[in-house]
Amino acid sequence: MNWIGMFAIYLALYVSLVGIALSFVAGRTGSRRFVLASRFSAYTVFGAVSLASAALLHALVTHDFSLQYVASFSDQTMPLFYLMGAFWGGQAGSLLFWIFKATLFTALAVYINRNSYQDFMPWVIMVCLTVAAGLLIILTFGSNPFEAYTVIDDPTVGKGLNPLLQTPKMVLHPPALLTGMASMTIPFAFAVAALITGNFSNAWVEAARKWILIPWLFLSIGNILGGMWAYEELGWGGYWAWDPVENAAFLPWLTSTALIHSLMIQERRGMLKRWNVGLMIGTFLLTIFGTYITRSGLIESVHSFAQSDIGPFFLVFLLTMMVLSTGLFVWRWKDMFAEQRLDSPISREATFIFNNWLFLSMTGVVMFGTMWPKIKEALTGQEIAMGPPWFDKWMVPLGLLLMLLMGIGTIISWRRASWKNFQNNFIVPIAAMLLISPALIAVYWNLRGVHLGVNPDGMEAGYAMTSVALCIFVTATIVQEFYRGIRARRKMHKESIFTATIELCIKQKRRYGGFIVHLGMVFCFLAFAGNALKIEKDVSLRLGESVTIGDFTMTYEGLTERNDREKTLIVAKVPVVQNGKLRFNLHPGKAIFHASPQMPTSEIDIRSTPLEDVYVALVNYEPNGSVAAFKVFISPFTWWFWFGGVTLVLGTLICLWPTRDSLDKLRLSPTALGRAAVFGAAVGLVFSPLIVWTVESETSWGSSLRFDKITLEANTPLVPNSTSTLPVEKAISPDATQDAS
Amino acid sequence: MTDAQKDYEVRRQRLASLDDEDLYDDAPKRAPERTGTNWGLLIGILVAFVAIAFIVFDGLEAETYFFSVDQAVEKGEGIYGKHVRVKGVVETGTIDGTAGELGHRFKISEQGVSMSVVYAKALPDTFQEGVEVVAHGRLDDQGTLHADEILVKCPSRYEGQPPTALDPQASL
Amino acid sequence: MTLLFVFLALIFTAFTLYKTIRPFLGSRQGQLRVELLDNELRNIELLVARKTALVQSLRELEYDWQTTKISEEDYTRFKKSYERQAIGIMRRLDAIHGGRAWEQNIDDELNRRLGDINQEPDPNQLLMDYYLEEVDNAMDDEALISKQSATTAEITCEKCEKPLTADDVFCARCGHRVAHDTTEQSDESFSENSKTANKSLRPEVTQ
Repeated sequence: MNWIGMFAIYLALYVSLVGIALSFVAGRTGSRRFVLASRFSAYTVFGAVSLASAALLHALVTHDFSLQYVASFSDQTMPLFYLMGAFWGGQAGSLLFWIFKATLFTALAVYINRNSYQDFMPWVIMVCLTVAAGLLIILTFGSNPFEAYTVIDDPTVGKGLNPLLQTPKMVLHPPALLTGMASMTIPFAFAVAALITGNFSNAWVEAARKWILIPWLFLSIGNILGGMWAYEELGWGGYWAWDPVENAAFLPWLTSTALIHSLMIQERRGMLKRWNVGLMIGTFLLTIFGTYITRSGLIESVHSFAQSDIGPFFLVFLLTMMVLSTGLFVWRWKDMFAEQRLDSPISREATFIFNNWLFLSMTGVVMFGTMWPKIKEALTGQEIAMGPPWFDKWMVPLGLLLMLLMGIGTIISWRRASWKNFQNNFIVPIAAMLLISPALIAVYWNLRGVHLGVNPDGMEAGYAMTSVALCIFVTATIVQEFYRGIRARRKMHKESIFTATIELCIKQKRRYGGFIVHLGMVFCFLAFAGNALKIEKDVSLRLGESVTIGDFTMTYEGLTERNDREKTLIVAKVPVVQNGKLRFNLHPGKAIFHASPQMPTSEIDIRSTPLEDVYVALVNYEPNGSVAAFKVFISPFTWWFWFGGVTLVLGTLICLWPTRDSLDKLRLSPTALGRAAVFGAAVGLVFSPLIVWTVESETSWGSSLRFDKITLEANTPLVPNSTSTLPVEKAISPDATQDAS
Repeated sequence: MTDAQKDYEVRRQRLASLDDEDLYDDAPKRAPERTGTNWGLLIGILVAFVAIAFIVFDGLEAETYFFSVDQAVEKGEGIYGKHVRVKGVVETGTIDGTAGELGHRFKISEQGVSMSVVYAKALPDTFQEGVEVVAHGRLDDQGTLHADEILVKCPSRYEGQPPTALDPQASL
Repeated sequence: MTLLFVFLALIFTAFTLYKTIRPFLGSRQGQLRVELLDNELRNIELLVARKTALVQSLRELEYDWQTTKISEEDYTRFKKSYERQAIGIMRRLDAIHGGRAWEQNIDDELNRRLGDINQEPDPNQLLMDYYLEEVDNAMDDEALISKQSATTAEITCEKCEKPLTADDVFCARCGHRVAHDTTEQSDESFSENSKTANKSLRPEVTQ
């Protein structure tokens, strides 16, 4: 089977090189034969890469340990779901997955646009195939997943997947990010095609505008899932730590967000042409750059899973892309001139431009913080680190400024804002902000906040309150927009409020989808504001001892040990009492996989409500269970971060939802009912993480207790009382794990 | 040919002869050549430059130095009172305090030089004698590190060489 | 299961590979036939895409106008410019499709309808009106559109004098209810007709 995969990779590389030549000729001459051939060469590359992917998947599922990749990242005991995770769990596989996604989106773009953008398409194909060819070269010569063993070395068992990665979120997080990065190729290809043809009309903007939402969506999903994973698995109570690899995925997100906004200006007013092309190129290069710093091990981080020696390959690829695209950019510099100029600094255009500057400053800050330690080390030999406080110091004010602009940009008028515009649009939101936010903060503080017993310092409190006020302001602008839209529709069509809302979202997808995305950001900022009241505490508890954190009283009631085929599980029981009433039992624990006894993973138990999360991690314990140390976090409003993420995805989906025309292009013509059903399913899918989150939080599914069902009889109480017949030493010694396996 | 068809022919020809002017109404009529200095761009670059310089200088203040134990001890009093990260191996037999409790004191060493570390929080469970750790914290004037975070570098077997028949758990 | 994927991918790859080479395999004659650049089709695609984009712009402009996010002067200017462009595009589309029967039908319909108004219709103006009508149809949201053409200009809102379309129930500006007379019937049949015209255009376009 594996020779098929090997063959497919070589075929893909060969055909992509041929395709580059074909599309070049097609672009230069406009010859229909070459256009057709290059189009099908793009499909062929996709076919060949999917063939290779299918072959690798087959090898993983059938446990073919003659492949080094399979032996390194899977073992027989892994369930199918994690076997799929192993596909992108390692270096070579994730690279193959990236190429698969890049070619998939290339094929889709080529198919959907088979009759449009005729001048661009050959060049688009050429650029996409160049990217694919570059990556395929890295795959073939740098790290090939079909690398086999020489006969003698063939192991009979695999190493297995890192237990930290064996959670559903981690199976989904890498493909989401990889998909985001891979699909960035398409809008980039359109920008480069515009550069090559010298056609800077709205055509490339239209195409790029549609396609850039896809990478943006997947980058968002990937980052949010990564945050969820870190929050649930790593046990430091947060979801974002300004880790270099997180930053690497965050950078293209920032620039593409900026681009989505500035493309609107070019579309409307024909301004910012150079800026947009430049930003598009920059965004694409940042995706490659992010991969490079992750893969090369240039920067140390929690993501050391994926590093290997293909760094230099990526560097060469990055530099080639950079030189080529920058060269084209400079060459066409003179041809990209603005058709119109900014009329007034108080206008929507100006707001958007300022928003772009802000996004770019954030990119600059993150970039500096990520790269400076390396630069400094190269210069002076002194190793340094940039801590999260530095990032927060810069990013928080920038983020708040961005929120302000988000509100203003929604309601300010085009070209030149007048006093009348101010009266019409600004008064209500500003009044809402001034009235509601102090009231809301006061109510929250008196009813809830004061019980948490936290007194944030002036700076933090100021930021948090500003953030809440801005949240109210932005929400008010969005509500006002919806209200006006609904009112207009109802006047004209005699619709119910519900129908009018739906119709608005259907008829003006981009506008209202965008507003919903903004609303998602509002929720996220609410969560950031809640961090000001976050409590973090390490406690050590003896058996039966209690501690009060905030107004939650927690009692340690002992450990139990459970064993199953894969791991030993240590579970602590911690009932939580609030206001004298038992609220819930938390079961933080530790899982020790027999495959890697050196690396216990935390089973954190979180009770998540919109008001606050109660988060308990078992850090450490006396082997007989008499004393245990816990990390406890009470983090208000963290729930809203996930809710905001889900809302953001929903909004993007509304923007992306195909129109009837584009469905025609795909040769699909579902009925209205079918469309509604598919949309309903999509919405359900979008909200499923939150549902899972809630279920995990409310039931035992999320805590270490979920393993209970399998191994009830194997449970051993670890409580050291005299009646216990079990030898205490059996508890956590490595021998115990040996026995069990 | 009927009248209607003739009419159409005429119209068709007339329409086909239309030039593209009204089609691309907004089409650029070649940018107005800018005269003089482009002040906007200049100011933008200036602002960006100042901002970058500011970030750099701010960053220089915020950076935490990263030493191995021997480097840190060598620096001596120069880094007392500063926030640093120190990397070293936990010395055997120096751990003071029991698992499950808070408040530990231990020594880390590198190249035969050692340093005491005080940590008031719960130690991670991978922490044990002989592992390499990174301690973030402040040095007092005795050269003891008061750590607020301890990271354990765990020897992960999920990196490195693929397994072989002789060594199925390679790099464990 | 995964074997099935492998198999499918294999078939797909083989098929597309064949299609890649095929343009260069046939006889000289066959190759030339492929080579005949279908300029017309290409143009149509370009124009249709531009038209869709313009219609979208018009729709957004209209919306901005209603939520007072754009000044009156800008609104009129942009709207006129967009409409002129849209008409230019449709003229081209018609020039390409000239002589096809559907256009004849529409002309007849227009003549029949405008016969009621009892004035000698200027063919150019007629065509203009028809195009504007079609822009509006494409905008899908007829009520949002006001028309500045001669045929409909006589219907204006009694209160604020905003020009209205025949099928408006309420004024889009001030919400005043519009009093309707007898034009409704013919209007409906007309838009029905232009929709079929639209459909006859589509298959040409997507092939």
